[in-house]
Formats: sequence, structure tokens, C-alpha cells
Amino acid sequence: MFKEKLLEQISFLPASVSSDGANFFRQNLPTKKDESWKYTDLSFLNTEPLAIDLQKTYLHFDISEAAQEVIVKIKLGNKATLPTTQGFSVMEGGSLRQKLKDDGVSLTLLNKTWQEQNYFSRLSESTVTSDVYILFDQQWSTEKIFQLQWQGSTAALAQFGSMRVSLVVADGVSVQLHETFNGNANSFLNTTTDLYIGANASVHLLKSQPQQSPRTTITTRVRLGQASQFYMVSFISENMWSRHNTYVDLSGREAHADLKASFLCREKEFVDHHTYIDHSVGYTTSRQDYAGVLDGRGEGVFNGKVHIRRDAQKSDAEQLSRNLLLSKNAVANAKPELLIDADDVKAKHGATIGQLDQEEIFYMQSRGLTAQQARALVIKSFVFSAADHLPNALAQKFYALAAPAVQNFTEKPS
Amino acid sequence: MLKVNNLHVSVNDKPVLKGLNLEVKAGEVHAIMGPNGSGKSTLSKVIAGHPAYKVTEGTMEYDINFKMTNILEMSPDERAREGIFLAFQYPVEIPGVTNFEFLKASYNALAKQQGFPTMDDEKFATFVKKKLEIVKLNESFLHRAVNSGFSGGEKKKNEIVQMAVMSPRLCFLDETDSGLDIDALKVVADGINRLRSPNNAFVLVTHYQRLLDYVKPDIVHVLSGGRIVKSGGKELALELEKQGYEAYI
Repeated sequence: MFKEKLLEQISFLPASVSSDGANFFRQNLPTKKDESWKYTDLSFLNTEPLAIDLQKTYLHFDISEAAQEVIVKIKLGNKATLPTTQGFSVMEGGSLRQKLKDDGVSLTLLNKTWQEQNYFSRLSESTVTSDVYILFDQQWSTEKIFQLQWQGSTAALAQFGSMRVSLVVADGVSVQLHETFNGNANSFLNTTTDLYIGANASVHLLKSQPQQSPRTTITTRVRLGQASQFYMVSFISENMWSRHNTYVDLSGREAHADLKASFLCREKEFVDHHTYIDHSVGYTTSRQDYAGVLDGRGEGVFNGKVHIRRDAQKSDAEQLSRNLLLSKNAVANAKPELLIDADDVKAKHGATIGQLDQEEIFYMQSRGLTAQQARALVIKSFVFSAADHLPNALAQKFYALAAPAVQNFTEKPS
Repeated sequence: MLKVNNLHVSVNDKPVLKGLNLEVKAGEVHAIMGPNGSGKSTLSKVIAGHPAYKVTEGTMEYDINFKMTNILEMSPDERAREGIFLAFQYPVEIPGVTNFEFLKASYNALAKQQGFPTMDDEKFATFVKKKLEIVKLNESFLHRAVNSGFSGGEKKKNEIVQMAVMSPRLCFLDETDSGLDIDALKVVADGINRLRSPNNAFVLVTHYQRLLDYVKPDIVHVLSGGRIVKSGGKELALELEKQGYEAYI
């Protein structure tokens, strides 16, 4: 039904995507038979009433400033003037390329096409008429947090909304990002964020999904230039259904990517992380640590692949999936994978799935904590470990989100 | 302060303690010695309220608000908040929870129960630093995960720090001397001596008498076959050191 509804409106898509797109979207809606969707149940797309409106295909930006923070709300709407302010500019692809060319900046990162995509990232690319970029230049204050708030439907009727934006971080610039996903819990929000991180630049990205936020498919694609750094922390608390696809292209020598996530999941909630880290050149490093706490009938997935290509000698990759199961009905699916074509590399992966250790709980109880306080402390430490590499301001945001979420989770067990 | 009468305890349906009697008064230091498998660790665990140790017979009374109260039905945390402390033979590692956070949570849990004001991070940092000095641990220990990656000696010292933070009335130390080199043993013993007072009592559970060279016991008990088979003064420990436990098995 979802597919049919989508195809009914395919004519609203730009001509460049409508003919190919119709075929693609008709043939490729994933099912559990697809290896990378085997744990992901998309059946609600066909069983629940979900309105699709592809006529509003422009991104609408609402920008406000608070102390040390720029808040950018993005929603679907009608065509509007793209804003520019000190430190960053929102512009269409053509203008951006021209500007970078005029400034003598290499377009290598931008010109390489994305090898990794999925049905939903393709949809979010296709339904946006203009390709929109946010450029962070040398004037951007490293102390500020750029808060990107994706706004899904707030209408009473459940809606499907699909958006994409690209962020370009100029050489040597450091950016702190906080990305949030908002809207009605019964809606479905599909976003793609493409990040191009210039040489010697760095990005710290905190992604958070508040409770009762829409079902989401969130794609983050990151391409890193020479000696650049990318740190990402995802925090998901009691979200009904979310699928996170993260693709990292370490295309500059000595680039480093560090992905962490913590999530709390219970009842029939579902959190699905898929990552693909592509070490395409040498001396690149990557770290992944995904930590899930699952109670009730909650289900978590980590399916991560690290690919070290033939020319990526001296690369170093680690990936870890950690899961704490609090009930016999909770499920953790962990599938870390390494694909190594080079011979002089370091790589390791691991997965742990366990329950709360009763000796740990007794030890804490013997120090005066109640069993519930002991349990909460272990869960809190499990969740908070994700914020280890965040700069202070972003870490504080993480703690402000995670502390009440952990409290709620531990005080009201399933 | 503590009165254990005819205590029978089973672990996995296997009887381990078989009619143990023990009385500890405020201000006393007791040593419980005995061969492997005699029930020493079981006694420590059952005092702290470990759920795997089932009391099948007997009583265990402890002074709460000047009244001897049956504590068998109390949970481990209730006992701890009433001032019963067990220093573990094998302190448990808790990855991800910092020592600072753990100690503060522990202190505040007790403070609430006992009617003292709780402490915020700043106040507690000042308070706990003095406790670290007792066993010569530096501040970096506060920011490490509880016992994770600690050496054997550091773990045992950390137990003493926890004891100092909690100021318990009844302290059971289960083989706190095992795994310590002579310098660490002296530091730990000195820490125990500094925490002794007329208001609290210590029970040192040990195989060897060397800890007792540094912490002088008032009463020494021999535990064998799940019962206390002999009690005496310090000289009993020296006798055991010379003659072994054979006479008591």
C-alpha cells in the first residue's frame, strides 16, 4: 500500500527522477528477504494509514539563535529564500559549487558519488526538488552548537515526510552539531544527512530522538578529507521504531571516525543500527561502540560492516556491539563484520549480550544501594559511556537528555 | 551488637554452617580462622545477606536503635544502611561506574537512612579525599571504574576506602589480607586500626595470623565443619600458626 501510494504521486517528483524513480521505488521496497533488512519489519507501512504528500518538496528553514547555539528547523514546505548568516550559508548545489570553485577549494569530496544508499535515502534524495547544502566556513564559531531539528508531521493524520540536506565543513573548521528528529509519534520521518568534512576539519555530531517521536529511517553519510575527524553519538530513548543507516567514507589519509550509540528500548520498541565504514585510503582509523539496554519485548539490532580496501594499508578499525538484556523476551541481534583486502592493518570486532550481573547488584546492595538503585546505576553508566568523546557543551546536552530517560526507564520497568 | 545463635546455612541445598554461635560487642575485634571449606566466607556472605545463602535454622540479631533485632528478613542494602559492612574477599568489578559516583551514591544512601545531610559532588570530593589518604590511594582512583583493572592490592584498599566512607558499626573483613604483599598489608592494617573505635566492631576472617600481627584481636575463633569449635585470645592464633588446623578438623 505504501508503495502504491508513493507511485500514485511519482509525477510530483522532478522529471530527472520520476521515470527511473518509479521503477526503482516499485521494485525495491525492502523486505525481510533482503540481507540488510532481515531484522527490520516494515509491514506497518502497509497496514497503517499513512498519508503521502509529495507536492511539498522544498525544504523550509526556520533559523533562530540562542546563547552559543544556532537552531535550524527544517520542514517540508513551499519554495522560500535560502538564508545566510555569519559562519554558515544555505545554498543550492550549483551556487555552492561555484562558490567553492571561486574560493579555490577542491571539490573532490563533493564530486564523488555515494556508493552506499538504501531505498529510503534514495527516496529522500528524490523527493527534494532542490539539492540544498549548508556550508560552514572559517567564520563559524567552534564554540557554538548548530542544532538541526528535522520537523516531521504534526498533523493529526499520520504522514510520511522525506527530506535530505548536505552539510559541508570547510578545511580546518570545527563544528558541533546536534540533530533531532521531531513530529507526531504516529508519523514516519525519513531523513538523509550528507556530511562532507574538509581536510583537518572536525565534526562532533549528537543525534537524539526524544520519546514519542515519529518512526524514523535516518541515513547519515559522511565523507572525510585528509586528517579530518568525525565523532558521532546517537541516543535513542524508547522510540517506537527507528532505523539508522550510517555510511562513513574515510577517503582522506589519517582521517578518523568514531561512532557511538546508546539506546533504551522496551515494550515492543525497535532500534536498528546499520553501519558501513569504508577505509578507502591508508592510515585511516575507525572506532564503533554501540550499547543497547533492552527490556520487555524491546528489540535492538547492530549490523556493522568495516571494509578495509586494498590500498588502505596501516588502517586500524574496531567495532563493538554491547547489549544488556533485562527481560527474557528482549532481543538483541548483533552482527559485526570485517571485510579486509589489505594485509598490513589492525582490525577487531566483538559483540556482547548479557544480563545484569547479580554479583554486581549484591555488591552494590552491600554498599547501601537498593536493588533498583544498583540496577539504575549500571544502566546509567552503560548509557552514559557513549558521551565520552563529546566536547563539554554537547556532552551536557547528552546528559540532560539521557539522565531523565534512564530514570524513567529504570523506575518504570516493563 | 551481633548475636548469632545456632545458625544453619545451606548453599545449593548443601549444608555449610551447622549450628554456629557468635557474639560480638561494640569496641571488639574478633578473628575467625579456619581451614579451607570450613564456612568462613559463607558466614561473611550470610551476615551481608547474600540471596544465594539460605538460612535453614537459627537466629541472627543485630543492634538497631539499641534493640537487638532479627535481621534475617532484611535485604542486603537494608543491612548496609543499618551499619553492617562486608569487605569482599573478591571485590566485584563494575565497569562503567566510577568509584566517585559509586562511593557518593553509597554515602548518600546511608545518609538518607541515618538522617544526615546528603552531599553534592563538590562536598563529597572534599570528604572522600581524606578517606583515600587512609590507605594512601591517590585521587585518580575516584575516576576509574569500580575495581576495573585494579591490582589485587588496590581492590582491597578500595574496600577499606568504602568502609571509611560508610563508617559502619559492624565490619566483616573476608580475607582482606589475601593477595597483599607485606607493604600493602601494613597499609590496609593501618587503615583498619584508624577506623577502630569504641562504637564499632570488627570481625577479621582469615587463614593466616599475619594480619593479626598488625590488627590485634580481642578474641580468636576457630571455625571448622560449619561451627565455632574453639575461642580464645591472641595466643590461639599463634598456636594455630604453629600447629595448623589438623586438631580441629
